[in-house]
Formats: sequence, structure tokens, C-alpha cells
Amino acid sequence: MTQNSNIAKKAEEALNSLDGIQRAAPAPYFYTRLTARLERNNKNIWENFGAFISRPTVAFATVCFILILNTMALFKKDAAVKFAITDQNEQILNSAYDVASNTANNTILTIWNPENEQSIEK
Amino acid sequence: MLVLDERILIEQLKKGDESAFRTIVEKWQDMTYNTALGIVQNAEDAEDIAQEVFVQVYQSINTFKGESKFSTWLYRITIAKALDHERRKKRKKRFAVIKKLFGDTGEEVVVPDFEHPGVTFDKKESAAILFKAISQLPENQRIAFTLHKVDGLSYQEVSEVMEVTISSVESLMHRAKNNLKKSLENYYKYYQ
Repeated sequence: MTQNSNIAKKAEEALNSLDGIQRAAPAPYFYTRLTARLERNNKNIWENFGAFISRPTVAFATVCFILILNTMALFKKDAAVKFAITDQNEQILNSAYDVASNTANNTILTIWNPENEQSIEK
Repeated sequence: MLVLDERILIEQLKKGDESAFRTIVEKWQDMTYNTALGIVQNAEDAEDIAQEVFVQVYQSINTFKGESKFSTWLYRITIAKALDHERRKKRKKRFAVIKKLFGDTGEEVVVPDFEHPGVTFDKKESAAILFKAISQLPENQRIAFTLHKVDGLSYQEVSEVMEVTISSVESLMHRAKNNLKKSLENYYKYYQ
């Protein structure tokens, strides 16, 4: 019983041991060390960038991205060429159709030409 | 007047004034260091975190909109950095255990008992035991207890820093005290 109360008392004392605690301060010349760190950080920006892009995951992701872009560009180019070819074919067909229809019209005109009819009666 | 000074300093820092930065660091370095020390319980790590905090302040002062007090913003950055540091340390410890399992006989990192320099001489021993118990508390309880007991913030200020209600802080403190009491009693039972 006494032992338990002794333990509880010690625990209570420990719990209150932070009462009246003073604020801790860093070692002197904190600002000097801080500015040195800031300068170091500024110098390291390019080094950090180099280290970042040379990471295997970043390098692999970049290569994949470039490959995807290339593939997309290639497919788009193919589609453009096909479209151009289709256009050309259409034009050829149209012109051929125009020629054909013109020839047919001429023949009809020739058949129904009144001068021709006269020549036939004669 | 103080708030006005604070605002002027921040505006000057936003314009890139180095003397304003120096004044800010000198004014809040103890507060930042003390908070970090209370959480990570290691002087070197606390200094490192305090430096990181001011580097972030210098780089991202433009993101401070003045919606909260500058000191509240500083507390939040410090706590975030300190907790991040703790997580990294835990990951390293776990990795060291795995390495040990695979037969790596690297030097073991011995964590010394922490003694806060602000504790009076007669309370140093019991404070060291208390700090050990604090380090085992859940994160939220640990932050609330440290901010209130080590940094001397009121419940209102703790609630502002932690972005919770005052009743939540009261609840966190109550649970933290209960857990610490149990932990300390177990410690004294074991060592008696």
C-alpha cells in the first residue's frame, strides 16, 4: 500500500517536473550558421536539379514521355498523309467524272442536233 | 504596437530586406528551437530543424497572408518539420533493424537520455523520465502536451496552432496526462 502510494507520488512529481521550465536557446551565432546554410542552398540549386533529373525514375519517365510524344507525332503525320492522298484521289475521280459526263452530254447533243436530223432525212 | 512592428517586419521581408530577416530570426529563434527540441528531444536535430524553419520562412514568406499570428504560422512550420524529422528517423531505425536481420553489423545508434537545458537542476532526473514517456505518446497528445508544458502556451494558443477547438485541446491534455501517469507508474514499479 505504502509502496503504491510512493510510486504514485513519484509519478506525480515527474509529471510536474516541467513546471517553471525555462526556454532553451540555440548555440550562439545561430544567424551566421543560418545564412551559411541559405547560401549553400542557393549554390546547390543546379546541383540538386542535376541530381533530380539523373534519378533513374525521372530519367526513365522522361524517355517514356519523349517516346510517347514521338509516336503521337508519327501517327498524326500518317493520318495527314492519308488524308492528303484521299483528297488527291477524289480530285482525280472528280475530274475524270467531269470529262466522262461532258463526253456523254456531247454525244447526246450530237444525236439530237436538228442539223443532224436534216442530214438523216436527206 | 508589437503587432504593427511584426507586420512591418513581414512586409519588409517580403520586399527582400535582409535586416528584417535578421530581426525576425533573432526574435523567434529561441521559440522555434525550443519547440523543436521539445518534440525531437535532441539538441543537434532541434538546431537543424530551427534552421530549416527559417529557410522556409525566407523562401515562402509571400505565402503568409496574415490570417493567423506570425508566431502561430512559425509554430505550425516547426511542428510539421519536427514530425517529419521524427518519421524519417523512425524509417531509418526500421531499416537498421532489417539490415541487422540480414547480418549487417553496422554500428548501432545509441540514443542518449534527453535532458532539457531549461529544467532546474533538482528536477533533471524526473524530467528526463517524463520526456521519455512523452516521446511514447500519440502524436496529437504529444504536440498538445509539449506546446502547453514546454513552450508555455495557453489552451487557446495551442488550439490556434493545432487548428482544433479548445475543448479538443482539453481532451488531448487530459488523455496525455492519464497516459503519462500510467507510463510513469509502470516505470517506477519496474525500477523499484
